[in-house]
Amino acid sequence: MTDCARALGMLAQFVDNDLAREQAAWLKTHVAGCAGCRAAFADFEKIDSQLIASGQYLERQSPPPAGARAELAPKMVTVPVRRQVTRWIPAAAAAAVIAAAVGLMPIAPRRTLHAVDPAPARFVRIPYLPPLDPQENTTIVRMDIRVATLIAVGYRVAADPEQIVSAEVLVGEDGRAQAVRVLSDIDWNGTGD
Amino acid sequence: MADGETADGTKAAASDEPREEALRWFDELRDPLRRYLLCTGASAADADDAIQETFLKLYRHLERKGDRSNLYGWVFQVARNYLRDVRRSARRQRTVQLDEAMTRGGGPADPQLGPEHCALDGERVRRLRAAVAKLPEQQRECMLLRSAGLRYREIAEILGIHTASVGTLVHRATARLTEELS
Repeated sequence: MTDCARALGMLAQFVDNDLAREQAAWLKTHVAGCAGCRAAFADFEKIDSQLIASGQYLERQSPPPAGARAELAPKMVTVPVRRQVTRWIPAAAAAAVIAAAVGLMPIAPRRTLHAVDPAPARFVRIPYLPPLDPQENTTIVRMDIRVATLIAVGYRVAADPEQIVSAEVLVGEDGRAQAVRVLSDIDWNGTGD
Repeated sequence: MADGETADGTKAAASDEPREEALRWFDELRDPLRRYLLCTGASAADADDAIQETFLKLYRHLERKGDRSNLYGWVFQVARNYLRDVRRSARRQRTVQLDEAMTRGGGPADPQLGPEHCALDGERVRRLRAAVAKLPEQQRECMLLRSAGLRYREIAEILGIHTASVGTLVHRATARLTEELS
């Protein structure tokens, strides 16, 4: 590594005042004798101060509300903890779950499942549902689903609507389907949203 | 970060109640997190909603003894995810675009500053934010987190990269911004 690369790599630590005394001394000596690094440090200090000023400016324009902490604290109450369960239930019962999901959801703009998903397939959220709480208990249900059903809940799928695919459905605590992971080798098509 | 605490979650090694701990994190991170969210283009209302949701989730996370390896980064990630979901939601339209966020405000919030001063500030900020928006993702995140007033050591932690790598990242981002703004 050249001295200049080493010096520029120390930019952040220099600003944070995190450099050891010997490092800081080396840096000062190098910068004093290197016009390129001197210019780079000057540019950096200018941009750095502008960045911080921009955050402060936006904060001045929209000051934080008073009482946010007082509003938050009472909401922090213990909720019962349940373990995540993976169950395999018969296709007929599973179909009822996703059918309920279809019935409950508004018709939403279609979402594309990307053509090249990394293996193994990932869960893809059903579009425009309220976000699943990361701590929420979920159930994974494996089932066979008609492509037409996937299309109905908002996915864009370039496949025969009558085709049956094997999938796993992530069901939230309210019993509604939240996401689907297709296990079959199916031709998803489209450009994404 | 307060004395004797680290960003990796060891803060609560001698923790009492999850609620108290979550509120301590709130006290420490609310302002930088809010500035960060505003800098990403969130409206003040969405930023405040995101903060409430994030710290409620943090409380649950602590209560359930979730992973504490990088709570600092966890908080920013959860807030980012919340905003992303809000932006995707067809039911909510309050989030504004980056350029809009940079120029909004109407009048000066600081009574000590005159309208010309604020207009100048607004224009400068707008140009800077537009330039930041063009950076590659990791450089952009780094600059946005710096706008929030975080130290580079903390930024490295949130981004999950080594502190030394931030130097290189910062240098590249700075060079691009200088060129863009010149």
